[in-house]
Amino acid sequence: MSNAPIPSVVAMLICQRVIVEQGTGMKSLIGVFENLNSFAFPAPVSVAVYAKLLDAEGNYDFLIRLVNLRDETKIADVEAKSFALTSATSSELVLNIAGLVLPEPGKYEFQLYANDAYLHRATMNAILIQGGPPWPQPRQ
Amino acid sequence: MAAATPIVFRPGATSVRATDDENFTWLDPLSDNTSGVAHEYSSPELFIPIDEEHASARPNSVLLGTVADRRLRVRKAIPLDVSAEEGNVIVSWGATDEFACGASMGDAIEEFSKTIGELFFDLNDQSIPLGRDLARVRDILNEHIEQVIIR
Repeated sequence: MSNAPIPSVVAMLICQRVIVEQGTGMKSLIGVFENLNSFAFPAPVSVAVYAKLLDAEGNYDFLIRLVNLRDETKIADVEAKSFALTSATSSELVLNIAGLVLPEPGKYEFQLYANDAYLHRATMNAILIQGGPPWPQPRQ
Repeated sequence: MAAATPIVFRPGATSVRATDDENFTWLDPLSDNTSGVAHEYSSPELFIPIDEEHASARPNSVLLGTVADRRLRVRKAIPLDVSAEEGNVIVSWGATDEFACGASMGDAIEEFSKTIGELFFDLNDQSIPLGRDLARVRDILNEHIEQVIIR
């Protein structure tokens, strides 16, 4: 186990996309959501995870794990290894994920680990919706 | 002088687009505007491997690095055993005989971290005399958790 102190997570959000502005480093969280509606499953999705960390000092291996909460099966692991962080500033973890397939409707959870220690989680609901407009809609 | 009013929003919802038509136009079903393109996506940055076998994400043990109290932080990760019983997930810390349960590991951990945060303050209350066992639990807690100095 690393000797680096365990960071505190003060925010963790799921959204459609996080845009990081070059130069300023400002983050724009686009489409923060909790419910993900789909007309069919399995559903291919693009999601992003944002987390703000405090008190990180040293080298960290981060793991973001997506779990299907129906039976706590693992959907995917995303690892980010050997990040050198300093406690002089807060740290922001940004992950844009594409090509993710949610197998069924239900509740899903992103779990955040740093150096194997569980830090935080954020959940979302995948919902099968009926009816609605034709999909995809015909172009006009 | 600037002034601002906090606004609390309801959680948002997103939708899944079809992937087989690169040029399709997605009209927002909730929008009155039926002629415009409602959404455009830029190219993805990262494709991740999907666990096709859907292995269990619930380990037999987990290191806890968080306490559900902003006044506290974890100094040294807390080793928790994870087990399942009668549809509930149980996380336990053998050294202190503390445990919590929930519908999932995340729920159980959240409950545990609340319990352990309250216990920290209860046992560190100088006005309450502690027996030998509780003093031992307090010492273990203080080894793993510390109070944050809020500036």
